[in-house]
Amino acid sequence: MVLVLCIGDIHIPQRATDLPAKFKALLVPGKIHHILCPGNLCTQEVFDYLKTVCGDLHVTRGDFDNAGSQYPEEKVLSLGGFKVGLCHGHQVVPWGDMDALGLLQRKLDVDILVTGHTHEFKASKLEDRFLINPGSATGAFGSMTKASWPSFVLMDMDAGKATVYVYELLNNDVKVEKIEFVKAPA
Amino acid sequence: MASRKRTLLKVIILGDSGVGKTSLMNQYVNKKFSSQYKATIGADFLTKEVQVDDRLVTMQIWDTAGQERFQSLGVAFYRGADCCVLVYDVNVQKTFENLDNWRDEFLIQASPNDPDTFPFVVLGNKVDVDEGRSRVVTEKKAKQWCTAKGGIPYFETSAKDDVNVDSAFQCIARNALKNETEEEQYIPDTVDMNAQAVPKGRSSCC
Amino acid sequence: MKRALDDDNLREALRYSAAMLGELRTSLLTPQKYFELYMQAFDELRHLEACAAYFAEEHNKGRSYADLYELVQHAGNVLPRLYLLCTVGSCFIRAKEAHAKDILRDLVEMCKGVQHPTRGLFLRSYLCQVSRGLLPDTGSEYEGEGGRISDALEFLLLNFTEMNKLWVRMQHQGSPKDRERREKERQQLADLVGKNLTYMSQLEGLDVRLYQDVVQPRMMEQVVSCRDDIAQQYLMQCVIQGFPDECHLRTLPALLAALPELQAGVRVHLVLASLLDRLARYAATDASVVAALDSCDAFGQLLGAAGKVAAQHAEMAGGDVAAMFIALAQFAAAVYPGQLGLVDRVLVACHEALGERGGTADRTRAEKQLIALLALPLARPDAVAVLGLSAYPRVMALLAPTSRKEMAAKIVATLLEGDTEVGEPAQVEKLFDFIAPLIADIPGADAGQDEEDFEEEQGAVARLIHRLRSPLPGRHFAVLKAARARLGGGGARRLRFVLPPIAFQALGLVRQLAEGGAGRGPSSSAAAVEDGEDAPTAEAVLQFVHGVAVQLAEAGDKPEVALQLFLAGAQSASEVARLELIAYEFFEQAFLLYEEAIPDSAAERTALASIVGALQRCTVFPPEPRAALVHKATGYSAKLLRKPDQCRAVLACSRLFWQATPEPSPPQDVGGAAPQPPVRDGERVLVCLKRALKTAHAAQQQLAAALRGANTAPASLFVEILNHYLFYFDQGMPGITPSVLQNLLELVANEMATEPCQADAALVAFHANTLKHLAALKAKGGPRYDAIQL
Repeated sequence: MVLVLCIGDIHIPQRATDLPAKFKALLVPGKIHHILCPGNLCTQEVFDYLKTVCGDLHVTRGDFDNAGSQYPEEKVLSLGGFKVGLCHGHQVVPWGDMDALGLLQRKLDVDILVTGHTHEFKASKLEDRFLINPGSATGAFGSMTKASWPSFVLMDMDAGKATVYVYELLNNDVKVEKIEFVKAPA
Repeated sequence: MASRKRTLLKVIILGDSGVGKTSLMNQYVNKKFSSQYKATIGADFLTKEVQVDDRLVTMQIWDTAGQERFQSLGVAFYRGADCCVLVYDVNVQKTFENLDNWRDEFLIQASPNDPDTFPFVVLGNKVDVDEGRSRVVTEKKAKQWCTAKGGIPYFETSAKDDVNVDSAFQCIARNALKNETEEEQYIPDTVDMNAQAVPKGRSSCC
Repeated sequence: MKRALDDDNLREALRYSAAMLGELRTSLLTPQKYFELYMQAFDELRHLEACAAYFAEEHNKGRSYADLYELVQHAGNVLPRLYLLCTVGSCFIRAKEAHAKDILRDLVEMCKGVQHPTRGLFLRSYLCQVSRGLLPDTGSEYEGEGGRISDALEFLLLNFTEMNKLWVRMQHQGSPKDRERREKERQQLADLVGKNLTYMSQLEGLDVRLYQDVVQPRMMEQVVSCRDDIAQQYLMQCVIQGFPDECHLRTLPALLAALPELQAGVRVHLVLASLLDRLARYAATDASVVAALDSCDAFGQLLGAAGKVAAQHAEMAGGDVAAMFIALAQFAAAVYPGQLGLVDRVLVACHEALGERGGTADRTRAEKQLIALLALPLARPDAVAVLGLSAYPRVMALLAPTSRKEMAAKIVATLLEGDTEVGEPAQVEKLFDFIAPLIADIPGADAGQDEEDFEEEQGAVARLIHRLRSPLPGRHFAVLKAARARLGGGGARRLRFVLPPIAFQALGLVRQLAEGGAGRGPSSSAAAVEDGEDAPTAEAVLQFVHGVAVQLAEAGDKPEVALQLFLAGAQSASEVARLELIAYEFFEQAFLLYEEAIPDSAAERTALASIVGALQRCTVFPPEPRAALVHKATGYSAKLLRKPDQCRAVLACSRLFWQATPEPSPPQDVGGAAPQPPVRDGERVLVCLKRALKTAHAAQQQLAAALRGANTAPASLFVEILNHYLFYFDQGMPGITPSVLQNLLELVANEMATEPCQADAALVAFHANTLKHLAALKAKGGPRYDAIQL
């Protein structure tokens, strides 16, 4: 069993003051095995904070991350029996478009592609594969959504089976939903 | 002339500032109580004649300053004590926690012959406050502490309402007496006349 | 001696006692050692006293106390004699053979016979001790003929005065080089003097009136007139701690009046803090106490006293002055928790007291104390209320630049911890006064600060900006304008931190305005009325954002951030406010920056992807202006440095000509232009795709020429291009026939058949995934796919 936290588009300080306190209370150190951040961490402080939650932190570069940062544009990892791809998504035009993301998924040859940029949680199946956008962890202003609220995703992966938990903060209440995804037989 | 052989018992009351040491003594000796806080400066005693079984004894009850700044002369008067009374306020946690310090300090300074059997009595004072609603130290907790320290007698008192004050001091007198009889008489303490080369002279009256 | 006592031989006992007491004549002991000796003598005298009492009882007829009193006067030395006199005197009183007041007066006078300080102090202490319980106190059995409460007080006051004189005189005896040791000894003897006050305070007959009329004036007279640092420091504490609160409340003016009169060496701030602490505890016991404090304006008196102390003691250390005001602020917080106005008065007074000192000797301690003072109001749950303290920035200004800055950072951190929002333009102005050292350069404040510290500090300010908001749009906009006016003047290096948050706040406001509908919803019109200021138009707010972004661009520090702001503005203008001209203006600015300022190829790639992505979404532009923008964007893609980047960019650009059908949404009257129909221009898409192919070929040739080795990057481009063809074919775009697709499939297959490509597992997988995707499309794609051979 592998617990993977997907969290991105944090945009502190440009668009938000802080991560919601209720999220911070959930993200206790020592429980999560890997963190995938599609991008827009924006500051070293947030990077350091996530490092305290879990040392195995993977970040790709968002459009608001420092151009000089060392984050790569894309990343591929093997986690819990899955091949997982990570990319912010501002490079994929049209933004948030399933077909365009599908191309990237085929190119990276991943079972699960984690992207961000839209500030809207989305989990969808495309052919045999899975796309996840954890939304913005701070509910930061986004150009593409009418309203956005804080959200992140926790994936419980085990031998090709992934249970995806979506945490959303609505009216200061944390709501959790569960989605299952089973890897297609090779 | 047996009746003339009065026994003088020395009792020291210790505890944090404001727990009611002076009030307990005043209630016991003078049957008076004042709710106003007045810091005790230095150490001083009151005496009280008390009957313990068939013996009439004089208790010399030493009230001490809870505030450290009013203990400028040190604690030489601990010497020769027959019983030590530790007081805390059941409504203030810190005063209970400090009992350990007071006890240790007493044992170091008074250096009784046998620290393990030296009689202490613990008083949890101010049980009257707010009809007990504001109390923070439970009786159980206090008794546990007393048991852990070798079975120290424990009383819950109110100097204000004169609750348990007499029985506590009866117990104090009894325990002090037990200690007193065990100590040899006529052997005065010697004073260390400092490191200076002082001709010692007649060291005391005997 | 005890044996003699046991043997009923009182005369012998007295002789032994006198001999023993002779030991107390030593001058060689330190006070604490002398105390031990005294305790032993004391214990022996207890026995004497007990036996004397018994003796007198038994022989009452033969020998009276008067005889005994006479008898002990024969002791040869003055010190043993006086001890014995005190002992017998106490028995005399107890037997009621003499009036307490007479014996006491006699003894207190006779004790003047010992003028050696240590010996005298202990002797008088003994006198007090043995006469305790024998004073003609109210209600005492010795009252009446034995005297009155006034006699008891007189005895104790006299003894106190004499003891204090002995104690103070010690200071002036011996050589100056022993001063330190002497002062230490004096400190040890302090309680002997102070104990008189405990005896007084425990008298039944001492009421507030007697305290006010007799005790306090006499004590204070002695304290002030002795002009001795140690005595004053100690006795002030004794007076404050030893007597009940009620007494202090009644005599506050006299007590406070003494403070400025104390010696320069007295640490008055500790005395004042002690008094304030007592009064605050007292106030907590009963609401009537607070009323009593108010009725005599205790707070005003205390504040005045502190000011006076500072004014009269120019030599008082700055840290001590500040400490007095800390105590006052704590007092105000404890007794009047809601009343921030009092804290402000403390700050005003503190500023006045310290302002005149300028450079104080103990700079760092004063700084620390001031910081502690300023931190006090921040500990409140409603920390934002601190902005109501008018004197706060003035007190801050007393700090050295670096401390001032630290304090400002603390304020920011405190505000960030809570969830307070600042929603008034005037409050925003104040906030910026408070944190002024953070929002602009002040000389000397940045010494030793590295870039990381600076980023952290400015990051905190940036985060705080999101707390500057009001639910009322008009006010919110005013707040943002105020913020920009202040923060915009902070110098180029701060702008990249503080301007983006302002811009994004404003864009949020644009959305709020658009969603509220221009004056449609009842809530917004109600808000406007309540607001007192008209809600701004979305256009005005967008103009504001534009101005902010232009300022950031001109600062030149982070052009890529400014470019992103322009693009965010463009999208809001287009998709939210539907204002074509403004949206166009935003794009033009973004293009200008792209052309002139983007520093490197990585930043260029990100910027171009952002431009194309943003433009692709926009539906506000009529064909002509849109064409102009699209033309520029596609032009940029051809100018990227690397061929693969060019190729991918032009593929992305192809989507500029193929917009998705918008999801149906309820029509919104935002007062702007209706959306244009989605662009579907197959011809232009095809141009892009062909250019992508051409670029991929060129990349291949370029590589082949440059190095003979294997590089599969161009092949990967071909697979990517194939994917795009598949997309458009599936969309039914005219111009991509099955045969075109088939040709491309074969071209890619041939590429993939080469050895280097087969060795590239990732590429093989990409190709296989693409074919699998095609199979999936074909499976549900209908007859158009029939001609496609896999």
